[in-house]
Amino acid sequence: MGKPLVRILKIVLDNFKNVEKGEIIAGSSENLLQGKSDVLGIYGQNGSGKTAAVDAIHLMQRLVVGEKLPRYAEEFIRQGADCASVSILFFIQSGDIPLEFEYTYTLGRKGDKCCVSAEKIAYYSYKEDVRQRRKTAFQCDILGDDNRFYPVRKYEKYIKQSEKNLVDFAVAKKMAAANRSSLLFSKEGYGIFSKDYLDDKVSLGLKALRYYMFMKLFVITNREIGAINMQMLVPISFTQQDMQHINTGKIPVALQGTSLIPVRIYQVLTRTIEPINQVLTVLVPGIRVEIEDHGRQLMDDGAEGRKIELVSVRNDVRIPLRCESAGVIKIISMLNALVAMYNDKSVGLIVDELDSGVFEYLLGNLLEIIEKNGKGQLLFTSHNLRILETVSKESVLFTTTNPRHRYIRLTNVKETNNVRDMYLRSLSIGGQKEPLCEIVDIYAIGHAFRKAGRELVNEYEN
Amino acid sequence: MFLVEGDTDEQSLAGVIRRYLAPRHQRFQVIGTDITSDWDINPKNILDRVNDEIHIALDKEKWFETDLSGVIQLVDMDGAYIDDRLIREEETLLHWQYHEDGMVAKSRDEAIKRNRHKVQNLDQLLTLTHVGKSATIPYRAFYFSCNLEHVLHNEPNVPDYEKREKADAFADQYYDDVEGFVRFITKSSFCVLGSWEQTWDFIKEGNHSLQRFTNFGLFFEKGGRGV
Repeated sequence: MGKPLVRILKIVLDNFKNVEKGEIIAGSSENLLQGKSDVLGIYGQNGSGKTAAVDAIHLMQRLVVGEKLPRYAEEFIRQGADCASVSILFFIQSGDIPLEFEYTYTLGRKGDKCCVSAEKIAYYSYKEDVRQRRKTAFQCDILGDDNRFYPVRKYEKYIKQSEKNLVDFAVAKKMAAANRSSLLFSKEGYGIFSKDYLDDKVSLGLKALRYYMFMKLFVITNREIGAINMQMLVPISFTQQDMQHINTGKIPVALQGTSLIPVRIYQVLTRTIEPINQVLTVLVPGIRVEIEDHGRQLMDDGAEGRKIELVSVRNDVRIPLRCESAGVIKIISMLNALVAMYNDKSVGLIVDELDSGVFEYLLGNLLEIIEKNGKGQLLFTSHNLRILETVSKESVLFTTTNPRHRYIRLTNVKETNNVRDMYLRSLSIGGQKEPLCEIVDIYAIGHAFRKAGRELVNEYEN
Repeated sequence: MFLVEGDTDEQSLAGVIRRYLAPRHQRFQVIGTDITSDWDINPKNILDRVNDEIHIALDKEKWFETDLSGVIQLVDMDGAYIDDRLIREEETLLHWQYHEDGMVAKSRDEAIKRNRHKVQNLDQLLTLTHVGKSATIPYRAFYFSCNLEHVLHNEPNVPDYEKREKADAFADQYYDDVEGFVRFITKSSFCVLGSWEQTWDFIKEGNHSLQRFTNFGLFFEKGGRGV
């Protein structure tokens, strides 16, 4: 059986960051099966929930690959709410079996800690190309004392009938609560449900999801962009599947000075650089990235490592990458994933602030090409309006000022309308189902500038 | 939508007018352009020019003509309607000077010519009731006499370099005081009362177009529905 194909169909946020309720349709199974791209850009004013969508996916990725919740996860629970939940519906094609698989995680507080408080799995199977009724296959309150899960019938049939399963499940649940991790995707939990669980759709879904999150989904978040700008890490996304032992999509390479990386990762990195350069020279003429090899060195664990530094080369002049502009660094860090997404229908790329630092004309053309000829899935947030002139209206989503209905598509857009014009018009004059932004009064800005200026002057004079 | 003569007119008035209109759910847009004195503009093409200006502004915000409830034009009188005898010549003068009883220009002929031209254009504007590509947007012009600074600051001859500062000061003064502004523009001694036609007849008389008057208050008497 070949590797599963996975695409994100729908993302639903409840009380996540500043989104009380929000639903995003991100892709379609038809596009995946036909090898067409799904491109979705999320637009909106600052603080309106664009990054929330990216954070929600990123956090799911971390949980699925078995990581603990990051310390900042508590910030994801909306102010005033007890818990936040994220539900993503995936389309999975595994061999000749199609499946719509929905995984939901809930963040809650236990004492002063933020934990995964509940997990849920539901799915729709297909019978002769017809989607069947939704089935809830697993639902568990991880922090509760009840050591069962729902549906109880399944619990009793599978877990309760075997002493070993009973103990394994109870342990897995305790561990997940203690580790602030997922139960289903913890080592223990995954061991139970991915093997020969009596609901084979659950096992199939879990396996496909885990593979997808490890190998095919690239999330470039704001936190990392921040890191780029602060010149700490440059995540070079890579896709070479032949590498064993590497279970994450990104190689962290320090931008500030040199990094010591294992030899096997060094080999991947050198191969990753070439495809990046092929596209890079088209996008930013005359520039290449190279690895400056500072030789062998032993790693802390005694394994052989390599000391390297990334440099950019223009006209034979080599300078450390850290000295390049933020835009060039941004392009380089996501280029490999972009190439992979363009060519591989099973790849998903999620980018927060796609436009930051990138020349907008270039960006518009890049997006147009990806939408037309790309194969994978791209979900991004942006403020850049140039993109709206080059992609179709189906490819954009706008945030609203209503926290209970965060995401909408523009209505009344004709095929001939320029989405950018429609958006700008809707910002200033309304006419959509939800207001898209608080009206900015340019004269109030002028007044505030002058007022602040006077106060500054007073500061100095006193 | 407001058509005003220049940046400082917008700077002075736009903020407070915007605040005045906001509760009425009206958005507005300001265009700064002095179309009555422009030598390229004559009674034949002035409507086209007004429409062009409107469309430049609409395009900027991606609005349509049907979004507009009206177009208000604010014009400076600049002594346009005074008798030629009230214009004196002073060759050393750099800028024209406006006084309540006459204006002084470097070249009297130039000034007379300018006034004739401006009056022709103004009179044409006053005949307009609707503008837009199919003349569907209500239109009305109001005046400041002899110019905006004269009405707002009681100084008809503010040098250009002081105009911005004065405009900011005025905008800040009424920033949180929309009511105060409305009182100022409707109840001051320089406010010309009566019907819109009457107020225009008044300003055309004698040397009124040099004195401190405005009929912009009429706009607010109708609650900003204006035209």
